Amino acid sequence: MHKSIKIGAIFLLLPLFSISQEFIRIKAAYSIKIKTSTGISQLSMGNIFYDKNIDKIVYENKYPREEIWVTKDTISYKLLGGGVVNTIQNINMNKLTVFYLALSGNLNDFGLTNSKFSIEKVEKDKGLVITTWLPPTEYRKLIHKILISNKNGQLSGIVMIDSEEKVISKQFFRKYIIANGLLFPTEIVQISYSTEGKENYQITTFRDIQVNDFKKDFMYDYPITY
Amino acid sequence: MKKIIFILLSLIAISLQVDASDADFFNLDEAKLSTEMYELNQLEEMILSNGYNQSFFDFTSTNISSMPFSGLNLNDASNPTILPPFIWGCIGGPIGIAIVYVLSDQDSKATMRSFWGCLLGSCVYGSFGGGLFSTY
Repeated sequence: MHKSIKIGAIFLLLPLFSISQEFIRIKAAYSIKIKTSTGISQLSMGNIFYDKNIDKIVYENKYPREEIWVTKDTISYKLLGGGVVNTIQNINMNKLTVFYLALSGNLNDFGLTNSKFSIEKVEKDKGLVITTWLPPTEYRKLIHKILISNKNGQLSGIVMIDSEEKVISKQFFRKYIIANGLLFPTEIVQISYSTEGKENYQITTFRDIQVNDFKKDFMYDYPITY
Repeated sequence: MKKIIFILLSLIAISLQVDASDADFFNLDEAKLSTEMYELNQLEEMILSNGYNQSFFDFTSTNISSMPFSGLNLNDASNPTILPPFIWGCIGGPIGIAIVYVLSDQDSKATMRSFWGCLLGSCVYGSFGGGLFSTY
């Protein structure tokens, strides 16, 4: 009798444990530093809020000036003083942010498993597991292939190569931490190459990462009002 | 003699080719990265130490240049490329856009404009919300 009660209690408690393991929202302070081959340097700092169920990315930009940017579906909104002052038509990329991919557990392959890309080969080289992904044939004139490297089971780099075998862009995901059980990179280094082969650098740094913070509902679902 | 040198050079070239692997694509020149980002790292540290209100900072004493954003029309909704780099910084960047390009056949032109905008936006346009100079 006692045994059956224990088993029953375990079954009742199981959903609670599984809920605690689900990652829904993330908040982080960000710094984005850009240095271009043309000599331009830029720095942006602020906080970012993302709830994968609401699917709004809310940027509370603090530096160099305070403003809110919200990306929802295919539109990015710029808000000042609580109201929209500008909208920009965009493409819907929220599902390809480091936030969504990390929260949903798909960061390791950058979500390519669920795409039209196919694996050409997987190799182990110099401590990296490198997967070569090919786009559908009709797209290979532009994107020849994407290489994704994993180190110790974590996404470490992505390289995009064009049809002339030239590198278009590299991204490195580094300095992983575990925040409330979620593995998350606190530094993303991106190098994009101009047509002349010159390098443009961008480093995105995340600090003060909070996962499943349910205190600031307002920021995660920032109202888009005119 | 020339033939021998030619053969030796060819062999070296071949061996170098053989040694090159996909892992080499993931090389990152840390020293160059640190050099390129030196001033920005300093500025970031100063802001983290002293808060976001850094209008007193004398930018003219550094090599940090202004951003050429003034010629752009913020209300031009037909151009999807013009987004602040801090937005591109958090999303997938050019690789993410390339994936979207493959996924969304219907709007590939707009996607590709975003792609090149993402790649070149920070070099050509600067940033609306992310520049070092809050002169606007």
